[in-house]
Amino acid sequence: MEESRDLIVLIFVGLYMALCIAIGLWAIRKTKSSSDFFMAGRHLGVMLTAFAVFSSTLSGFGFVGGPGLVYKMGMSSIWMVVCSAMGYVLSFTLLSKKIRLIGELRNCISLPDVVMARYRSDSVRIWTSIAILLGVMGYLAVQILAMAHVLKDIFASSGFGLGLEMCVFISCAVLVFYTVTGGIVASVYTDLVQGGVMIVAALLIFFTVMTTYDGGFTEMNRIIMADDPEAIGPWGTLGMVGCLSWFFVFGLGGCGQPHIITKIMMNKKVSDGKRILPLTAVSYVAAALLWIGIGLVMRALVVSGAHPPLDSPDAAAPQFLQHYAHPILAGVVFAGLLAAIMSTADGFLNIGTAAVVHDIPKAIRGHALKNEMFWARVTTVLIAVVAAVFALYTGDLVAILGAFGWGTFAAAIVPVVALGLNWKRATPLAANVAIISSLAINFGAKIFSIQLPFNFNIGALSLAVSLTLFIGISLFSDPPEIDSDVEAIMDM
Amino acid sequence: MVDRLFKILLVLLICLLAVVGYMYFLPGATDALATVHPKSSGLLKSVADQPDILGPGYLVGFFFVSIISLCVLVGMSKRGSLGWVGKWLVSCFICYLLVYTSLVWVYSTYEAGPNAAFWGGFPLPTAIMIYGIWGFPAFFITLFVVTYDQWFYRDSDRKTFQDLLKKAGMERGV
Repeated sequence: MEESRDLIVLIFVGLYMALCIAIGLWAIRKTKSSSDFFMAGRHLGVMLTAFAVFSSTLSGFGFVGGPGLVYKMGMSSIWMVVCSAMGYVLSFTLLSKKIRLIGELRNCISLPDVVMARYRSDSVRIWTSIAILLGVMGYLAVQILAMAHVLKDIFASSGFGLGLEMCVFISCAVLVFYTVTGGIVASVYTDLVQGGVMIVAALLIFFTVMTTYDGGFTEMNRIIMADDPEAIGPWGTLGMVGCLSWFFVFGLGGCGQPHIITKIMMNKKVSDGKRILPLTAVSYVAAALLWIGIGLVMRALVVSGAHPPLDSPDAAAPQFLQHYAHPILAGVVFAGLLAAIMSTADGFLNIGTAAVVHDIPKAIRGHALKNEMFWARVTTVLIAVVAAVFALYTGDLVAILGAFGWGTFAAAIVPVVALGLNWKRATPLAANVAIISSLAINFGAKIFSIQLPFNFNIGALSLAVSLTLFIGISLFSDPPEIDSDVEAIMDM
Repeated sequence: MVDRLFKILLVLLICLLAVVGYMYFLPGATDALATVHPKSSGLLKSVADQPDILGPGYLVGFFFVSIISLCVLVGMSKRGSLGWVGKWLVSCFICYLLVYTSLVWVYSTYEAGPNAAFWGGFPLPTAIMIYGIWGFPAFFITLFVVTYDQWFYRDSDRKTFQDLLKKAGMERGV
């Protein structure tokens, strides 16, 4: 079986992609209106919503970049994981009820629709849409590039030398196919498959990691400690302040990620929230075990001299799969990796399309486009093409936009949506200032390479500044007028 | 009550930004805390002379945990009140702060080496981070689940929402 390893991986990846296409074909019949296309008709059950939320959170970064960071920095990047449970608590307490109820009452099909209902301000709707669109383009381009690199490596190992452009085309074709045909319906059903594949892959890998050394994690971690005690300490090599700032921006910032919170608007019954939250948190914890396990074991293997040094930290997961995992497990994990990337990318495609065909026209013209679903399908293709071109030909710009995505979403959306729906004094002016400050700080810091003390994360700073401005300006302004129905929901 | 929570949030945020600003003036603020590992260029190894930032570092984390926990309180409040769930939430919030404080305290007193204390496969401070900081929100989740029908989304809320839907339907002529 060992000699057929590459073929087995290729077969698993092929089967996974065929399944995504089949779901896309099946979902055509379920997508009859723009509400179905963007909101799945608000008919998702507990399992679908939970898996859609967690699999949208864990992108390809969790399967490649995350283990790579643990290998490189030690325990530092685990702070991006340990904040996740608290992030979900925040999303569900601050948002799940209010955003879902306002969505149904006002027939909102996107996050800016909810923002409009809350603030009665076209400018807040436009700024929210712009922040979403900018973040989406960067994030999506990074996901497409990651998908293409994974496919290229898989094809190369199997003896098919395909260029990066061709791999971008293949991966985008599958992604766009099911997103265009079935909209968010196909997206959430593929999320269910993708989430399942990720959990199975992560659990199997975690047990493989535990058995790599006879003494399990204790032996592995003692090896790392002997080489560098700080690396296996709670802050890793990044240091205390940097780790804590990741905890803040990835924890509180979790309830500002539009591709995640939009999924919370889609469940059938509001009362399902009490089941969705624990299921989401447990699923994420299970899938994140891969992040921790592979990173630590590869660091232990390399520092002890049992494995040659890696060319790049991102090679940690592929190298582990190639040398220490059973071929079938490697096949499942590679399919899981593509699943992780696609489940995030389809969410971005959907909210980006909503911003272009629904939110911006509504804010400018006062009404939605005619035949919105047709234009949504066309725009989905266009956004994917632009993001693919962007990914292939703009070099550093992709990295800049990709890196600034999470922090910008966090700083722009957390105050405006997560806090704004829970505080009647929040004003449209404060919301606009919070969004603009988040864009300015995140872009400015990247462009001017500003370094904060002791590796404090720039996204955390922009989140703290935008929250301060949002609360400060609101407190010193007159309370705004809120529609009585929205106010009634805010009182619940 | 909610206005008061937001005022506390504002004070915490301003204090946080002040501490971050203060840290700029500490020695080694922008120095690298890690260097390339001698065994591989893809690995980082921490530098021997780590600057002592335990005090301001603890404060930064204290503000983060407090801000996040206060946001949970905001999310669980109804009509500006936390009602009977308030004491449970505040208890969870205080315990979460204690878990974080114990992490920093154990880290500051921990001695790494061949006989260093391990728990659950990890050095003691790291174990508190993994099982405590990551695991503790299970209490918040349990509280959310247990109080959901009695507090978070009650029958009276459901009825109010149905009335709102009916009214909106009539206004739309449905």
